[in-house]
Amino acid sequence: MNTPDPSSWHAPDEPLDARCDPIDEGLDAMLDQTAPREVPEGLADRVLEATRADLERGRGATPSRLVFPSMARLAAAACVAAAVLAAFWLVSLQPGSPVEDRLATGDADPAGSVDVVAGPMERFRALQAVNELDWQGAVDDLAQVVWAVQNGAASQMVLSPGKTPMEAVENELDSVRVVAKLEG
Amino acid sequence: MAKAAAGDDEAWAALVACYAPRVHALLVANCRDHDLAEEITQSTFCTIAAKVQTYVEQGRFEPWLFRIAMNRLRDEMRRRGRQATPVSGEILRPVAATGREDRPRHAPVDEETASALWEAVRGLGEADQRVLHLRHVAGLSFKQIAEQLEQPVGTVLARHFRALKRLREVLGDEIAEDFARRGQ
Repeated sequence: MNTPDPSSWHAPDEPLDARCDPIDEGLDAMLDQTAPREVPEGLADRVLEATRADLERGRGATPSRLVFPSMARLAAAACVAAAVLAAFWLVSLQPGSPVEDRLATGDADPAGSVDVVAGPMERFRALQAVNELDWQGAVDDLAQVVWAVQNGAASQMVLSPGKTPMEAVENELDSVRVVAKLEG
Repeated sequence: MAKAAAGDDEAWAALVACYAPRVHALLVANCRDHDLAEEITQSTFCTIAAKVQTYVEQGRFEPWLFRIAMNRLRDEMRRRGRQATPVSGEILRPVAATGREDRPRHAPVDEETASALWEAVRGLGEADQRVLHLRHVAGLSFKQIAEQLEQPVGTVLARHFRALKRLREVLGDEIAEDFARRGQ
């Protein structure tokens, strides 16, 4: 490899301090013209040879910082989302959980309220209901349950076995709290 | 660096060819020992090579590279117990002789003049020399010098201004003006 012309680099042409006069500028230019830039013959080749082993080792090193922050953020977001879904899924498997009760009292499966999480289809519906849980839906459900209790229609509500209308109100309130927390 | 990290040997060779001479020149300007300068140049690039995978591009490669080199040199000089040699009156004498010659304006700068000017630079304080070396020998911009020295750009500009003023004092007005005329 040929060593590049030592005079091929110079101080960038940029404004000096505002107090500099023409003599200062001339001296600055003179320094640039005369700067010692002697380079021994074959320097780059020797440096290349000396760095060979370190370069191989360096290429095999694990980055201590993420090289693609945006992709890393996406991956982290996906992991968090998966973890949240898994948490909801596990919660939905617990008997008497708020989600189960919500399914029983809500519009997801009014007919099959007795054995909500018995089969795979029910589990899928539970997961789907969790996925579709949003602020407006949770508030609407809560409003419906509260309206039913306040207007004497609690007896017509579809509830899980052993649940009272007030517990249904509590469950809907829990849903609203969860959504409020998730959606900020 | 990214290409070199990905296994592109030509990219690494190009990087070494571009920067090794500048690093070497800066080290020679500071220690006046070609062997030591080459040793530290190699050591610096070994460090860079070992970190090739972990380096994150932030537009600060040059300050980082030159900082490693200068820190290595400082450690080595400390280890060897060397001190910078202050410029003597004998050294400055050729400056006066050169400066008083009747030369046409914009004449090519001869080796003797260049040598005399940089001998005068070596008579400046360490901080003044540092900023002149980084600007004229390493070819860094004021912004890069500021990053390398971890100081505001305004401070570096002011330091450069003061370095030029002191250089004028060392040279004397007449010689400084002559040098400045030839530099412009």
